[in-house]
Formats: sequence, structure tokens, C-alpha cells
Amino acid sequence: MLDRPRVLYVEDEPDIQTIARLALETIGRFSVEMCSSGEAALVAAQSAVQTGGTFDLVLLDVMMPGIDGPTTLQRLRQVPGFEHVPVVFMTAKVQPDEIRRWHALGAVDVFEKPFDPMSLAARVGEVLGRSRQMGAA
Amino acid sequence: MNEKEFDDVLARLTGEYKAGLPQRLGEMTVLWGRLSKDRTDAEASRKLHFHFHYFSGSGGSFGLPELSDEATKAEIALSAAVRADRTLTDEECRVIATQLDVVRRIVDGG
Repeated sequence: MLDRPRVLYVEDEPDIQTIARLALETIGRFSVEMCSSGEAALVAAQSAVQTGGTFDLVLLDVMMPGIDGPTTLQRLRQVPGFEHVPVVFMTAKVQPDEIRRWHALGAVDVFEKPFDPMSLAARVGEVLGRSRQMGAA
Repeated sequence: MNEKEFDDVLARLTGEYKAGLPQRLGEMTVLWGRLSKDRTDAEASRKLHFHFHYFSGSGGSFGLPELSDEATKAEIALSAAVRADRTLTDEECRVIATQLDVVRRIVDGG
């Protein structure tokens, strides 16, 4: 049996964490690790790499207390072994210039919040499939 | 977890979310009271912005898309002032006051 894809979800609001975990684990069969801040995400990324693992995808809230999503992404990219892990930004407001900026930072996609819990897992699966195809190419 | 169990959990989470809205709205009302007295209260602006941002980014996931839509208008009104660390304009204050009332009606009816 194949391991479940591992998703790191970085989100400061407990309500959103709970409904996202429900959707991703129940519908998508993903293995989900939640972090409440960018700082915690950096620790989780370093810990995963040190124990010989990694994440298949990161879902990263843009606006959080402490370091924000874009800064977190820049620092995640400096973690050895985390340079190419696909990252998707989650954000309530999506302006075209912001999307361009985030893609330039290395985000593979941007999901608008609020997300539909019934379709979140499918969207994550699509991004994972796309990223694996690009990685294999 | 089967489909019914999933639906039951989703309904419970939605209920918990809605039950928590009045307290958050109460905090927003207090913050708006502070800003109404002193528009230079940067801490109140920043905290109120986070509350509207929370509604904006979560309502639709819990069956309240109109809460997201209406909160977004206030979030936008607050964003420029918070990012530039400046005082709210008359127009921004008008939008925030209006949207706080709209959000209150949604929460009361939810």
C-alpha cells in the first residue's frame, strides 16, 4: 500500500484548521500536519528533513500573525531538502498583481478562501499530480 | 468515515463556528468603539482588520458565503490604512461602520 501524501497546512485560525483537516484527511486521504504560524512551519520542515522525510505539498495562508505566508515561503526554500516542495498560497483576497508576485516567489498555485470543504481535497490532488508530472519531466 | 458521518461532523463544526461568531462580533464592536473615538488607534485598526479577515476567509467554508462577501468589503477598507500605518479616512470609516452592521445582521440571523 502506498503511503498517503503528506500535506503541511499552515493556518493560524483553529476553525479553518479543523475543517481543512476533515476535508483533506477524510475525502482526500492525505496525511495532514497542521502548523499555526510560519515560524512553526519552518520548524516542521526542518524536523521532517532531519528525520529523513519531507512533505509532498504545503498549503500556506498568506496573512498570519508573525511572519506572513510569502516570507515563510522564502525561508522554507532555504531549508535544505525543501527547495522544491510545491507550495500553494491560501488567501481571502486575490489580486492579479499579488498572484504574479507569489508565482514569482515559487508558489505553484493560489487557492481562494473561503474554500469549499467538499472540493479542497480534489484541488490539492490536482496540484500534486501536476507537480509530480513536472518533476518527472 | 462514511458519508453520513462526514456530514454529521461537518454540521457539528459549522454549528460550533456559528456559535463562536457573536463573541468575535462583540470584540469587533468594542474595537470599532475605540476607533470611533480615536482614529489614530493603530492597534484597534490592526485587530479589527484581522477579525474582518477571519470572517472573509472562513464564512463561506461554513455555509455563510454572504458573511465572507460583506466582511471582505470592510477588510479592504481597513487594509490600506493598516498597511500604510495611517489614520482611517472618512470614507473608510463609513464603509467599516456600514459593513459592521451588515455582518451583525448576518450573525444574528445565522
